[in-house]
Amino acid sequence: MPKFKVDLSNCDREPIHIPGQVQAWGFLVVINATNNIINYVSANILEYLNITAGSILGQSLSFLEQKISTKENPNPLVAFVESAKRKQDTESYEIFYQEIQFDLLVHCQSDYAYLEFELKLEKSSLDIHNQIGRHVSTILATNNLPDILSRAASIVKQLIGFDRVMIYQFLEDAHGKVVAEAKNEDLDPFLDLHYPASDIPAQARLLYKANKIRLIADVHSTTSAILALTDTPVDLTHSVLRAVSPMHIQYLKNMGVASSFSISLMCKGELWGLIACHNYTPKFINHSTREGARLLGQIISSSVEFKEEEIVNADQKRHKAIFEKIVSELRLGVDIKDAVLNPSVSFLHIVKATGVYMQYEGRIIKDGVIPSDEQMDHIINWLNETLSDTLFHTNKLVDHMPEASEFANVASGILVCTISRELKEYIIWFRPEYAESITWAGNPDKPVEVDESGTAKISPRKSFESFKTIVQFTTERWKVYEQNLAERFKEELLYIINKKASEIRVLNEKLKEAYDELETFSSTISHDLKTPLTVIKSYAQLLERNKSLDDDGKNFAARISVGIARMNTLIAEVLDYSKVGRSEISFNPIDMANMLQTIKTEVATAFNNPNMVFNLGNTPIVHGDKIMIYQVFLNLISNAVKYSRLSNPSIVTIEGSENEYEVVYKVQDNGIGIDPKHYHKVFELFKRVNVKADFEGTGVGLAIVKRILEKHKANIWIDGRPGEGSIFWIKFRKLQ
Amino acid sequence: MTENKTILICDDDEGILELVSIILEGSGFQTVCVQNSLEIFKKISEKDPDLIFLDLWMPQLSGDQVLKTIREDESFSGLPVIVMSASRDGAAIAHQAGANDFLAKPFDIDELVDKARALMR
Repeated sequence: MPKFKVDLSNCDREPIHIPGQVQAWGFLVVINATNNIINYVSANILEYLNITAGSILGQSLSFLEQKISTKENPNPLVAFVESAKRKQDTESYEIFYQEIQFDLLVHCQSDYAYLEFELKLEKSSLDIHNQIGRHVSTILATNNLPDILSRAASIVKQLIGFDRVMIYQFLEDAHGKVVAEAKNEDLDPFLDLHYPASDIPAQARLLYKANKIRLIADVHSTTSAILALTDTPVDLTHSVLRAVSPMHIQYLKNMGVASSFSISLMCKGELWGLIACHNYTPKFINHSTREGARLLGQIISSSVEFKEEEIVNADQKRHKAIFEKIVSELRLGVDIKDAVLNPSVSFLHIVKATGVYMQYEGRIIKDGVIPSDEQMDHIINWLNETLSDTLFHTNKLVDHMPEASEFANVASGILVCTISRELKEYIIWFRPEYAESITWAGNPDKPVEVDESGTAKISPRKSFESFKTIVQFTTERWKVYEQNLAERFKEELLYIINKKASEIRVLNEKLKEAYDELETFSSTISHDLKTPLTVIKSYAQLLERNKSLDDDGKNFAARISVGIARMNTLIAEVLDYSKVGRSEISFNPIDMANMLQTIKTEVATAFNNPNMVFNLGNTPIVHGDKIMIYQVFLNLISNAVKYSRLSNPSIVTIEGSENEYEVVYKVQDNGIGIDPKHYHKVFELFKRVNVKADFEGTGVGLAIVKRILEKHKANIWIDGRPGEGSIFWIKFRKLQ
Repeated sequence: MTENKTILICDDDEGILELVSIILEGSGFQTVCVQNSLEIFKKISEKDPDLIFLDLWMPQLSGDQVLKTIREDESFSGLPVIVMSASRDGAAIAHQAGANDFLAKPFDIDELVDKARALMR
């Protein structure tokens, strides 16, 4: 026997709505609805009416009517057909044929009217409708869906008296699960078993949508052929007597089922599930009981729809509330990090997820359980290479990214929103693998059988031994509303991020303007201050030389000159300070040995201190703006000389060292030192720490030093002790 | 020798004009003051000075423009000019415009006189 599998869709193409046969528990007459000519008739009409099918084919309906009557109406059939033509539903009538009572069902489809006759074997002793009325109130009083379904199964079992009644729910991939069951005690439970999607092929599901109830009275009885006037097979979609697919018959036989009855459960126009009833001996259900079951099915359907909606709505409401809370915070201008994740709310719960990761503007925010950093890198690189849409979701990541099997327990499902593909910035929500295993009613892989002619044909499963599989690497699908919320969340974030970016741009522009203004202002003010200063200075100098002035007068004039010199320095330094802010640094290598020698000479001349010892150690190259770095060292060395001038000898040491990444210089003196509690103050503008008359200064010098070094991305800090001198350390980063 | 020398001083600030004039006259020079820089060329023609002290920032015509005009005019081109300014980049501007010397404000009296003498030797 050759072993191979065929595509399961083969089974899907079996034309089960035109089997050309009817079940034996009734007979069928189909007429052309315009001329009432009998076009089709089932052969078993002979057994019921003792008329051969051939004898009435092509005859008018009135031929059949001669033998059928109701008490009220001597000509009923034509009237029934006329009525059915005006309505869409099947209509039912009780009729007599030679004192035998029949249920007659009449419906129309396209050009034909279908008349289906079934024997009315017994008078229904129970008032079905009363019975159902009582059950409905029980169902409606039940709160949760599992209880409703469980009750419904019992009620149906009671109504039709079958051995087993199961409620079967279609799940996401069209496979089904038994979610409720009522059965005879001696039977094995099927509750919680899963049935593969191929057990109820797609076209069978369509018929379940069209016919809300379906009886297969006896799988072992023979069917009756339909004789036809034409070659066109008759469409039996809405026929209650329609013969069953041999595949399905075999399937039921394999399960040991003799009679099967199903009630379709609909939710929002879709087939939600079935109430599947099995009897292990042949059992007929009469028309009125079937109609009762149909009514019951409708009531259960609406309960399911109501409850399902309630469950989905509750989830949706909860997620939406969190979304809205976060968005309102964002719009109020709360920092993104604080808005999306804080003790009271997390963007994790915008959807149903167990982990979330977000990267934007180089920041990472995460919550819940997510893959490791290395795995995240993998995921993000994969997304970056393959994702073209801004939204991506899957409930089985391994199908797209095989290596995801390693972290399926964290991320079997992902929902991704792209913030920026260029920057590899995404928001990703994670769902873990389904934890449960699935118990199948038999091996879900439908085997193939080869018939005598050698044609491969899918055969219904023969084994219903329960078969366990783990639902691997799969998780619940992302709902549409979840996708929408995620997308909207991303839109809000982008809006905020863009808004902040443009705010920063505007601020930056304003800052530039302010700097420009400050520089113009500083230049102007220093120029304009110096002009009167020039006049004061010169007249003071003239006074000092004025022969008619006494010594006191000359002395006063000299003090004016000293004050003017200080003021002049201060003006120059303020101007320097304002200029540093705006200058662009061009990083050039600076010959420090040369520069420090120049500074030494300048300082020695200025301070004219004969007791000064000046130690110059290693002088590694520094990269920076030559003029600014000159200012830095001039300031530091001047300070060192100034504050150590009372020491004897005054020792100033300048030494540099370097490693792979940085160059460090120190400028050390043995002067009065700085109290550590003032360390942070010395670099502030106009803050003078050693405010003693002995040491002059403007309070600008170190502020300029600090500002220049900040511009160079260098650091400066102080060391040393009061009374023992100070050490200023400067650390320059090397250019990479 | 100095008694015969005439020095023209051009500055928009009256206090500076007066001050420089006092200092130079105290050293024996004759001075001519111009407050509106647009009038400087007329004064040069009239007084035929031996040296000019020229401010940079002036509202009518800036010092460097005045200097460039002087340098372009053949009849004045040899005239020594000392630019004086309180602005930080004054020295560079003065040099570029063709000044013979530069004096930063505020200045020292002796420096001013020395620079003047040096250019008229």
